[in-house]
Amino acid sequence: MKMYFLSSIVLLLALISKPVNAQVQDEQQNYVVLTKKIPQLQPIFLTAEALAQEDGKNFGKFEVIICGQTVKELTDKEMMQEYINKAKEHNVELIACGFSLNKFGVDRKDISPELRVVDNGILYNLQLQKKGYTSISL
Amino acid sequence: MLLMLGISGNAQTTPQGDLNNYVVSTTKIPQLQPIILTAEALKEEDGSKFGDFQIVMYGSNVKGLTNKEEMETYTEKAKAAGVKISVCKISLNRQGLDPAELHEYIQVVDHAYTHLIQLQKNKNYYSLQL
Repeated sequence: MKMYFLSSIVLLLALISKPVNAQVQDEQQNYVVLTKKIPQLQPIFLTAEALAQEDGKNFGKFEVIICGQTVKELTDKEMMQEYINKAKEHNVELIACGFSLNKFGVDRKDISPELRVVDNGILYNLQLQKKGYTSISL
Repeated sequence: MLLMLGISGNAQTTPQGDLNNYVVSTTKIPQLQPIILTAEALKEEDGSKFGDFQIVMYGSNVKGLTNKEEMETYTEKAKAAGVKISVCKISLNRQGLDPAELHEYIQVVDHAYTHLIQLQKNKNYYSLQL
């Protein structure tokens, strides 16, 4: 009877301690970087690579929001395809800010269909932060 | 036993409190427009959880904040959305501006960078620097 009681306590303690650890280790890590300079994609991919290594199976989403005047360069489809390919290699998603596209007169059909467009990059970043994404803006 | 289970449950809750608070900093006055749109959208999305939304302006462009007529278009929308706009005192000093010259809706903070960090650190604000 005493052994049964003791082993129950041990089991219960194991169950209690496990969830806390599991929560820290198994939680998916998601990231968002906001950039106003397309050439910054290069070092951003390096960051994604490093974090993927660090997080292992916990590496989740890595999204890059492109805002500001730099969106004009998105129309250089050849240049952008290189970045898009690199992004795919690193499991990075490239997103263009719709507000910036409108402001700087960039037509959506002049940019690669592989680029996701959100209405408002600022809003989208804060929405991701609310979902627990770690965020930096450059 | 039940108490211990309760404690492990707390470890999973987000340390945000009840409301969502936001601060966005910018050096460009035209960015007030998409920022205010953002606040409006978040206000709708958060509903009763929508707390404070602040915009902090700094940098050499703060001179434009003395153009009360031009600022009125922004401050009107900001007021309607419940968005506070403040400007960095250090930036004002650098430009030789008197706070009295600013549009009345605009508040002053001692230092933009300190303010941004304090809001994140002490009050858990979601923060974005443009």
